[in-house]
Amino acid sequence: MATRHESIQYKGKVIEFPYDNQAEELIPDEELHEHLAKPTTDRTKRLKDRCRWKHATAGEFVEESVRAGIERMRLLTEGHKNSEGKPEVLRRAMILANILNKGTVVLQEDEIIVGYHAESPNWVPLYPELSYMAVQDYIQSRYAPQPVEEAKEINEYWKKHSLQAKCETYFEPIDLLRMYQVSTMEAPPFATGYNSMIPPYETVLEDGLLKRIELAEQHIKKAKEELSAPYWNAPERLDLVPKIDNWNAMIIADKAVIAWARRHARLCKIVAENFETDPKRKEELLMLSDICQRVPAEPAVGLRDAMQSKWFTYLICHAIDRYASGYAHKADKLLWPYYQTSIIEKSFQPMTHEDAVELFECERLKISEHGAGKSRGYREIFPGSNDLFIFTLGGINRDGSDGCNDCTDAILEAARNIRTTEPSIVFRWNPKGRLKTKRLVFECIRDGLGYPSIKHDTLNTAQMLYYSQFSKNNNGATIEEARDWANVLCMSPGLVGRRKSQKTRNEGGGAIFPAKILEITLNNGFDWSYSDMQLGLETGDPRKFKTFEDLWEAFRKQYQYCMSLSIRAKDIARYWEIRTLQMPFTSSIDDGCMELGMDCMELSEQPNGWQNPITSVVAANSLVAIKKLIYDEKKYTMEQLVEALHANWEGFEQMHQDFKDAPKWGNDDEYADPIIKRFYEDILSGEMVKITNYSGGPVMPVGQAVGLYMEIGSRTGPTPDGRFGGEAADDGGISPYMGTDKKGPTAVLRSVSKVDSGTQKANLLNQRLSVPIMRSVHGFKIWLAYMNTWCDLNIDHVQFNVVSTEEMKAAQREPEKHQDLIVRVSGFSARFVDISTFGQNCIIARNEQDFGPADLEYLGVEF
Amino acid sequence: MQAKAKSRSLDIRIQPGISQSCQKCKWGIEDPTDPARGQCIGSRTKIGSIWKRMIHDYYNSTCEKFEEGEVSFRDHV
Amino acid sequence: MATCAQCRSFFLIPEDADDFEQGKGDCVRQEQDEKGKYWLSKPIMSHTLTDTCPHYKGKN
Repeated sequence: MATRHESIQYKGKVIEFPYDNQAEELIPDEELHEHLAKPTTDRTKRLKDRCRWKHATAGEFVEESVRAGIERMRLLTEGHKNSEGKPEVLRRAMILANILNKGTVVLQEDEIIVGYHAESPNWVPLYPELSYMAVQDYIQSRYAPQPVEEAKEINEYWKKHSLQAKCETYFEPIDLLRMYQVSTMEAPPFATGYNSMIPPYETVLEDGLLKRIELAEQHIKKAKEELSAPYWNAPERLDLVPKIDNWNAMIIADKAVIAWARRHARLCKIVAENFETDPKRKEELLMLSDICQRVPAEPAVGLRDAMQSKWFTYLICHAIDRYASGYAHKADKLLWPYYQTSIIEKSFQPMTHEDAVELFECERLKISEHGAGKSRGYREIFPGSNDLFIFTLGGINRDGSDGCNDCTDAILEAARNIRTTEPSIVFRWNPKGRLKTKRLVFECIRDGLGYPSIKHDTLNTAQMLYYSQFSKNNNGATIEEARDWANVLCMSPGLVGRRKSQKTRNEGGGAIFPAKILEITLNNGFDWSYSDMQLGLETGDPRKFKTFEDLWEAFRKQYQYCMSLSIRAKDIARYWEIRTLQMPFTSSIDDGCMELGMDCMELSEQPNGWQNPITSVVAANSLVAIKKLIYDEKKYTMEQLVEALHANWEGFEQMHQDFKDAPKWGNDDEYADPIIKRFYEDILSGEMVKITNYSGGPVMPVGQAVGLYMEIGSRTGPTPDGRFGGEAADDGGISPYMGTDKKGPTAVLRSVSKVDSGTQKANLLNQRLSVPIMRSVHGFKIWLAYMNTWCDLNIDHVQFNVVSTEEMKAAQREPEKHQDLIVRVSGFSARFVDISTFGQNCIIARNEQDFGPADLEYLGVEF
Repeated sequence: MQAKAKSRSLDIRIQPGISQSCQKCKWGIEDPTDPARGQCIGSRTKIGSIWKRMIHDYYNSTCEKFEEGEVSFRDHV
Repeated sequence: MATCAQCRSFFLIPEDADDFEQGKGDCVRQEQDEKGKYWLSKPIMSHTLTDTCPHYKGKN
């Protein structure tokens, strides 16, 4: 039997909490999530049962069949060698064409969205042009591309030509070592190949690539006329030469993409006519053949066109031309016109709402088996998941009207029904959002998916406008464009649409780790606990610090050193991306690049700089404990603290208890909260915004965690908040440390709301809510009141785990019986049984928030 | 500073050409960024978390706790 | 010596295709593993010798 929440005495009434769905009361707590999946059709059930998952954990792929393919790296290298001597941007286009013309095209049974990016649906491609170290790791592993000797030879070739090789020369070896060890800062993208971007899907779906080719041809024609007009003027005209190269590269790339899509059309037809025996599937394959023949060459007309065209664009931008994590787009806005055509008007590719839900379930499964050839580091830090695939829904439209529509609902229904860890969803919470859609958001969360995570719509739109003022060409976001945003990855918003979207992680992304920075600040910049080396600046012996401010300022210097180095590394990588990693296909689908004849690596109209502080709350709680016990109460000396930390608190038990008992974040505490607010605003943000990145704008903090809160915890010694060496850090952004938020959910909201959201680009708030409350007849009402309060308090973000400890412990005992148990780790959701025991225990240790009468009253709940 | 004397990495020693290298040890894993380096995951705290140490030369380092084998992903961070 | 043109997996690319070249075809193979069936297509020239191809199957 399921546990029913105890009744509550509230405003003179006794409130009972029967389950919303009475039948669920018969399901034991330990197995609830195994009863929630309801694939919409037999097809999506079959596709889920046979899904070629690419989940990774502890740096390894979970499924045995995953290997690295050699095809992409081989064709890339061949293309690079064959195009020697050409302008670099044309080389990049020719390389893409070489991969697309000669690479393997894949079709799988049952699927209605087609296309893959390696020579086997079980494999992942590699990117030696980005990082030779990441490829070297694959070569040494059981996933090594075959023949391995050829792979080694290819990687050797790229050791000279890769982005990593080009960037490394600008840094001292000690700085590279400090960055590469990922304990005070994340390794720069040039060392890992990790990237993120937002492709302008809108132009592909609305215009089609033939139209984009025509536009480029017109620009070339006009430019050549201008070049040859009388009275040559070099300052005015010489810039047209690289523009012509860019437009020509766009044409080569677009033609190659069209031909590649049409190879899929041919494959579908060949299979229909020569292999398939089921007449219904034959018909379906011929339909898919027709779609791939038309899109992305032509504009999408119906929903099936739009989904296929989007998928092809995604594969090129995120997996074939270059690797980029993420699945950033505003899906309901992008697809709504095609939903209307096919489902409401039924004028092309007519279908029912349920057919649309099936299509969205298929998309989720397609993403679930997408293989990212990412480095070991990124296979470690998203444990239990595939990659960071996140798209956005809801909010408001460009004209300010409610952005929720029936397509939003179909996408949410698909997520709720099929139950996959990917892709995750962000929901933009706006008071204008319709209740029907918010109810579906609730149902996904209540069912334990961990998504949608929720972002404050108005705050983030305002942020887009804030960044626009720094635009280098005075063409940042207008108010209409500012309303058109999606999360780039887990947390940070960026513009979507026909132009001005972010194209590289060197603009925004990458992490900095305040807990480790505090640890080395307490050791004059030396890392005694992990790497045994001078990891930061020599900021002085903390035992000689006279005041708390001395420590504060020493921390500031260490933090600024890491920040400046991190952003310098990204901007130097940007410098080389502009010169050797152009993306002519992506440029061709960006209206700005097309108009100006510029490559998308170079053109940045809307700044969007950020870096992610991860482990901030451990550092902040530690500073609170130090201030209270050493500088205010003088109960201990800094010398004693340093000694206790070096002993991992052994022999210092009382002292450990005192530091552990010091006030902690998330309890609406009068002592802790002002210090922590200052930490977020004066240091985390205050120091970041002093930096200006390539795009001319400030860099702002995006507090989050991914799986790095565990990884960095394991590389961080004991900390003054009472943590032991190696223990996990806080699980995200502005979330209280696990188990230390003891005053209920509304105290957490009050603490978090004290930090001015306008000083931060984003801040992740993880909350774990009671299953019996959320599944009760009052679940939606209480959650809605919570969300409205959260919105009124101007908090940037919140996401929820709704899963019982009983069920997680049952899954630890018998993992094979709990394949559908999903948990929210950080900005992504994961299959619980694919996480290490330590990671699982960290989720279990999060405080489950219940709602008492005081919370309900604060939220204004009426029964 | 006192900190330098209390480094946790002192027991890992560089020994060029050692057959029982960290790379072959159950508790050694590749550094996630630079595969020429490694991490030791053999140190576990009382509550089960792993307190890692960096191995600067993964192929030519060893220590007294060398053990052959592989660790299940369940026992990782 | 057999060539790809004589193989069951060889499908000549039609003249109106974007990637048409004289004698160029698609080598289309059906594969199956524990997860199900899938098809792979790679471009190949009709005159390619098949002596090192483990997948060659003559047309009936």
